[in-house]
Amino acid sequence: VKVLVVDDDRTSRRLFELFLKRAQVECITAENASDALESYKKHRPEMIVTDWFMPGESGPELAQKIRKMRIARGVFIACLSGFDTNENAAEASAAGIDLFVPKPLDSEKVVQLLKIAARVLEIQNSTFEELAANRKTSRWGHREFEILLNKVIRKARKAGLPMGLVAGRLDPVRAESIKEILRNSYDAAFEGRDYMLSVRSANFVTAVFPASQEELSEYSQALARYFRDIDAWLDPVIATAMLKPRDSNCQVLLSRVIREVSRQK
Amino acid sequence: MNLEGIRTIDYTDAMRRLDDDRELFYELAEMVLQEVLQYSRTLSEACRAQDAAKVSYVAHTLKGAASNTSAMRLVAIASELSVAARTGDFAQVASLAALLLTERDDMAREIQRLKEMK
Repeated sequence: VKVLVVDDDRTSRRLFELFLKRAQVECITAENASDALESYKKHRPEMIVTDWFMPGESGPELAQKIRKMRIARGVFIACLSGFDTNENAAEASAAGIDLFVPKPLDSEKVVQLLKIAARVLEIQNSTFEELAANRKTSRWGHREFEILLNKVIRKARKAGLPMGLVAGRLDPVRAESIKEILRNSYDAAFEGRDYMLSVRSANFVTAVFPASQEELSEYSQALARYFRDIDAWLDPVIATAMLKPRDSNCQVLLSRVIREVSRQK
Repeated sequence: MNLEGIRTIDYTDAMRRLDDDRELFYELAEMVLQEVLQYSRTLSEACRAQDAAKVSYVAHTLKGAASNTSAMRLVAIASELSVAARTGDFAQVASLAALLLTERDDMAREIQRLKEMK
């Protein structure tokens, strides 16, 4: 981990530098928000620790600017302040600061700060890696889901029913609440029909049957509108595919949905 | 301002926070001593210009620097400076700026005493 320390007070910068060095963490320092922005672009650290009150822009103002940068979506930002009031904590959070650390600094606080940051960064990175892997290999869903989907396909064939698939990518942080929303929406749209729903950490793939192409298309469009409205998606993409008579297994169906997603993007 | 009962440096607290690193403590304390001189000059200018925002800024930075070395009296003076800046009491700011220099001398003596104890 590379850490950018932003503080106009040189004793605080020196102290941080030393504590980080002892923790074998690379440290870059800046005296103000403007230098920090330049330094961020140049070094791309995974973590920023900024003082609140500095000449020029404040710590929260710096955080807001950093959060607007596309390259900075995963950076962990902590803010140090001697004024640890609830109001300041709320302002820090609204500015995109992940952790509010009261001053003065000590070695234990730095160690704890690094542990929290490492845990958050690890979760974030694994999510981004999973998303990247999904994009790279076009592999949607997991093995268990595929097994389940094949069962559903066999059941649909046996009953001579049409079968549709709705697929999308969701914000992993809200996976559970989105799962609940999807359940409710399926119940409302396809009352009394069986369906299966699978939500994984970084994407969802759902199957619904029986459903005609028109029903499925109408439903997926309504779902996409709804999720765009509540801003619940990392990638607001929803695609549908119908099982065709010659489809042998779920991979064919999944591939069709992936092609549709690629086409939409 | 009454500083009675407040230690110039809470050495035990400083050592706890700095992992018993005496050399680091002396290095930081030297930085604080240098900075107090600069802050004192900035405060005089801010008083002349009736610039409360600048006094607030100095108070905040001084408090941060002093607390890194557990220089408790400097921390107390910085807190009083914040109050004076908020109320626009520049006579008090001028008085605290003078006190800052006296306290700096006390701190320098205290550091020397701690070094000799070693």
